[in-house]
Amino acid sequence: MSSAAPAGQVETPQLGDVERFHFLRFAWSELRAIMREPRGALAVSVLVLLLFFAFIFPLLDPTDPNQPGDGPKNGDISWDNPMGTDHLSRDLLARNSIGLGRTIKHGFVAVLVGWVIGIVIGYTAGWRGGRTDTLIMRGVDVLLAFPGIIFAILLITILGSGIFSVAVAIAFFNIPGSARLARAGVLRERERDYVLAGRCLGLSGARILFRHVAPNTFGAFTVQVPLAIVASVLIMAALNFLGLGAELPDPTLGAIMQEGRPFMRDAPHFVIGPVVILALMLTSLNFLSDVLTERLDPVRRRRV
Amino acid sequence: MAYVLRRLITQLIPVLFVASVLIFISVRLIPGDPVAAAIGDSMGGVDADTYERLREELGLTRPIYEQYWIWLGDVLTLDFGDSLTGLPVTEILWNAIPASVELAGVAIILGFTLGLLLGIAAAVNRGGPLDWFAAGWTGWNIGVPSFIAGLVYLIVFAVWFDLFPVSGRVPLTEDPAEALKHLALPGLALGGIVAANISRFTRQSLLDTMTEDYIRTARAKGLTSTAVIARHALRPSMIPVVTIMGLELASILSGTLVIETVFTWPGLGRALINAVNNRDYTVIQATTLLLVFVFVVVNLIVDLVYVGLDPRIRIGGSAEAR
Repeated sequence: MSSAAPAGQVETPQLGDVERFHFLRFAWSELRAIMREPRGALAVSVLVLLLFFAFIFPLLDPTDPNQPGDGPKNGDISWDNPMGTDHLSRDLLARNSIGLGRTIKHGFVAVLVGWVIGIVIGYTAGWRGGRTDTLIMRGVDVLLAFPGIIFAILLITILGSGIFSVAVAIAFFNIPGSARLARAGVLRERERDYVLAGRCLGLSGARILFRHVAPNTFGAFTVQVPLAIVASVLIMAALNFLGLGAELPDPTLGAIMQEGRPFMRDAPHFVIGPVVILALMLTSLNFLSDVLTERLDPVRRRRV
Repeated sequence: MAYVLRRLITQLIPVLFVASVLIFISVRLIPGDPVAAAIGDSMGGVDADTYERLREELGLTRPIYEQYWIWLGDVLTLDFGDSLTGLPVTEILWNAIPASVELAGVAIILGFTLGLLLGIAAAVNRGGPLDWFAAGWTGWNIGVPSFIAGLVYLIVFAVWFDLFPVSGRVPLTEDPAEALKHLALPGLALGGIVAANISRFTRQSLLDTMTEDYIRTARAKGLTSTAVIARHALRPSMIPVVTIMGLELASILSGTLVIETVFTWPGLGRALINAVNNRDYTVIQATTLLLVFVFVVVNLIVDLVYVGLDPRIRIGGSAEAR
């Protein structure tokens, strides 16, 4: 594939390249280890299928998810509409596919933003210590004491309903947990000898923290991130189902469920589609997190 | 007692204070003018004098912290103002609270009893059909959130088998049989997850206890296995389970919010979502404040129960706070 690179770009090895290469190799070996576990293999395959359905399938299927078709309203499963049609006779296969894609995209970005903010907060608290630490962690505790969904609803009240507000709410929802995890990691690593060595070499605090301490705190994140994605996708679907992320006519999985709810008796397929997709996704992510936990936990790991 | 006081000062009051400030500010931050919102569009052309007078009557000319204190005073005397529908907010709350309490109560009862029974049965019947059933139930409920489970139960039990109504509520005091029929599915959806978590912990904890020496002693002196489990193994196994029960209470509270919409249940969650959709800010303020209050108080009570169960927490408390 090197021929695809721009002509003027010369591939000179740099320090960053070496680290990145190692990371990819690490990720690849992790993936292969996960695939050796039956549950891990199942979870990864389902997730790949879902990703295909969400992002590749819309390119192959030209049906416009928002365009009312000629078919019947709330039409049953048929050759033309493999998942049936909705109350405006739109194709549910296309709607579910786009809806899943939007759910994954927004969920992923929101979780990412939330975690980056949370991790920076946690690092700052753990690294600085003292009064900064107390102050920040008190704030985090207050955030944790709030029921997540009520906080999300309040935020959406302020920002107005819409997918962006939902994403902001999800990002906020992820801050306390990641901040605590990051702080715990930094507190654990802070007193190690290599930090002292770094100081003796005259490295700046930020450099020691981000270059040397941070990578050692990542282990704990790998287990928690799939769980955070599960919780976030769930809250997001719930908020969309409640009609708070509505940007009609663009679908999300939760919005399709909300639209289908009144037609439950006559057109159960309307609701079943997004329910099955969401259940598959959440269960696979749970499996994945289980497998990762077992890999990281030597006591529970059966094969060494 | 000192512990209770410390918890009150370091957690309950700050959280409630921050919550009330957030809730108060959230409505102030919404784009648009409260005076315009109060008069509505029908009287669009108000002259400057009337406008100023209204601003003063609503207290908007005062500094924001004074406005907050006035609002807080009203809230503490349970005066939440009027909703957009013209009804006092307190009346809306009073109508919604029984429905939510009923639903949460059924979910708690169902979840706790089912969870304990299933957990004990699975542990006793280890590797047998009941154990597999419990494992399947746990897997289903942990993988799938309550509102999705609720939709599935609706499709299966209300639409395909037509055993239960699809939505709505009948008050328990009017027609108990019909009321329970309406409560069954939302109760199962909410309580199912609670039952799953509790049964998992009960099973594990009971199996751990069964390996203790004193259980072997009890067996050796000729007790039946029922007596061993009921008299000797069960009680010590319950300590971790009680912890989980406390955590589950909080999850039921936030679960009701969404479940009520799935089953169009006329409780607080439904009132809140309706208010958000209608931009009925006084109702939003009152409902969120009430929910946060209940949430925080329940968490406090749960913590106090632990202290009763395990005195170590009382002493370790200060170390943990660091």
